[in-house]
Amino acid sequence: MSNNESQKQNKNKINFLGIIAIGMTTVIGSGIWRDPLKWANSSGIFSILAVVISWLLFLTAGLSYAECVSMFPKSGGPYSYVGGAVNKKWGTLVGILYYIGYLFISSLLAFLTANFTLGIFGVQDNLMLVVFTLLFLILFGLLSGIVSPRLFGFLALGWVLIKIVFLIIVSILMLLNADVANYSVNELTFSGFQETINLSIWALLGFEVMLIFTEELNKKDSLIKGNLKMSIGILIALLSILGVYILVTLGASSLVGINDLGTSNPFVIIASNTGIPTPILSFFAAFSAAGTCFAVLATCIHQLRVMARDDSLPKIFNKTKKGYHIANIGVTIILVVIIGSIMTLLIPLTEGLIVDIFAATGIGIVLISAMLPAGIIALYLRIKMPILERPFKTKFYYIVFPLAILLSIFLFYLNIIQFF
Amino acid sequence: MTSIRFECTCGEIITYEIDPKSIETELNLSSIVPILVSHNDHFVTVYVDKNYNVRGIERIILVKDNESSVVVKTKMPQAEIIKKVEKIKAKKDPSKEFLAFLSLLLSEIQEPENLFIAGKKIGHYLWNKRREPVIKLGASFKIDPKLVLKNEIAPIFKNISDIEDIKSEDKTIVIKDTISPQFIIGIAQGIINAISEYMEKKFNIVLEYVMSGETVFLTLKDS
Repeated sequence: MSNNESQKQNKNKINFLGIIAIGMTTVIGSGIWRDPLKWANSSGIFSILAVVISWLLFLTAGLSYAECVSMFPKSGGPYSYVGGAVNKKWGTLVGILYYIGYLFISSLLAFLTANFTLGIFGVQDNLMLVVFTLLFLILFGLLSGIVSPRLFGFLALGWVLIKIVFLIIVSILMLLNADVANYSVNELTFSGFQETINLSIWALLGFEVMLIFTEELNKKDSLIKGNLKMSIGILIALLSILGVYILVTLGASSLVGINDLGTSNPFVIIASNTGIPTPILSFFAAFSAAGTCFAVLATCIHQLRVMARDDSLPKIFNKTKKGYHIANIGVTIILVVIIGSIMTLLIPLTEGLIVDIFAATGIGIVLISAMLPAGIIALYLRIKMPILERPFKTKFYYIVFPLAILLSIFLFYLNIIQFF
Repeated sequence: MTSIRFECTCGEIITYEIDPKSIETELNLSSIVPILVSHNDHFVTVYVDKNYNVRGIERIILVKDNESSVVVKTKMPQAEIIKKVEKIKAKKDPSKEFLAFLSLLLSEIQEPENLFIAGKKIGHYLWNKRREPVIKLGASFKIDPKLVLKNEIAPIFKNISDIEDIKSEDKTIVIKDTISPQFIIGIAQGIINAISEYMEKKFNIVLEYVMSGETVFLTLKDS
């Protein structure tokens, strides 16, 4: 390859900040606008400690993937690592499950975006909810399909920075209106603290989408070069997410004390204490969910391309027409529209239970295909292939990797137990 | 034909005939050429200069840039051996039916040097086949004789022969009950060549071996 061609290819790649932003925007969705108040309701100011513990548990998965990606600098994440360590059939199975899991998640995120968008205008209409959900799925599906990897990185960066600015503004306003009585820990119980961990641990799911774009990362544009760059990117993304969560949780625990929330709507509590109108909060939440939906759909579309490139899927998913992967965009939009239609149309009949079922299904599949392989593959490779170079080597792997496996099993258990 | 006379590593004096044409190219490139010589149950690498004087003898098959041993005493040209190996491989894939493959191979190739060449070809193939998934993912391999022996060479032989580790020698494995020891050594050499090739010649490890009947002792060392 000539220098010019190489430079041209690098120009179309995602820069370092872009790849970090992709991980961050996937994790920081709409939940961050409501969940911290629920965490504060369970353990008050101690919810910050719970968030840190949850983050540390999630870090085990982060370290597992950081090591894997330093060994295998190819796109595809869990699909590639399982394929490399076990065999292509298992890799393909994991890749397809991962794709399906995120189809469910993106449908759910489009639904949340639609729900919050309608909330901006104070509209509560089931038909409008269906229409807006499908509209967002098509819109974000097309947008994520037509943008280049480099532009996707820039969009993700811009989107997540705006999300963070919104969160900082709201958190500062929450802290300025803090009620010191809410910091009391008289009612703190171990079960309440544990509940906060169980609730907050979900908030970190999704960072691994960065790995789907490993080959699209420009490895020559900063001080960190080569295979180590993505590993460091994962850790920076996770650390940044922790910082954001600590700030928001601190703000939330200033407004809500232990067992203070009751059945109140978290938005109403924030609005009444900070003076920010509820429609504005709904806009912030809709904007956040939209960014995550966009990133997840881009991941799905790219995943098909990566798998087709390895002959794990039909070649049509690696073919372009006028520079666009028409088949990938088309199939992904059709599938999410089907899932989104079933989910939203059944809401009136199931009184919202269908949303929980679809969410649990999507999360369950992602846990199996994305989270569980992290620790298993990293541990397997350490034992079976110690000869492989590891530019990023996790210390105390015999503790970290099994913890990552246990975390996935625990999350899977929580995902099922919520229905009982 | 030119004769060389030297003392083998086993102590015996050997007279060996070399066809000067077969090493003409190598001699033009380098002043000293390593030549692989089969003697009883073992091989030796003999270094000869442009005047066909023996400059050194080693019981090691070298893998260094442009310094692999040259086989000169063979009735069958190397290209023909490779062609035969490919033909047999097409009939019986050694990664799936090793013994059936070996049986066919031994019916067509019997000379120790030729078996060594065939082994090199198959070792190269077996390693690439086994490591294809991680190679596709762009993995790099550590240059560590112990890890190469235990993780790359020994597992390939596990499906072929009985393997034993020597506790006092962590860089040595023992391969027992081999049908063709020369072929087995060739496979080990082929594996090293394959890794070396994949790592773009950054790999610099030498293979040392001892053959005793049907048992082969393989040792890897940093060169």
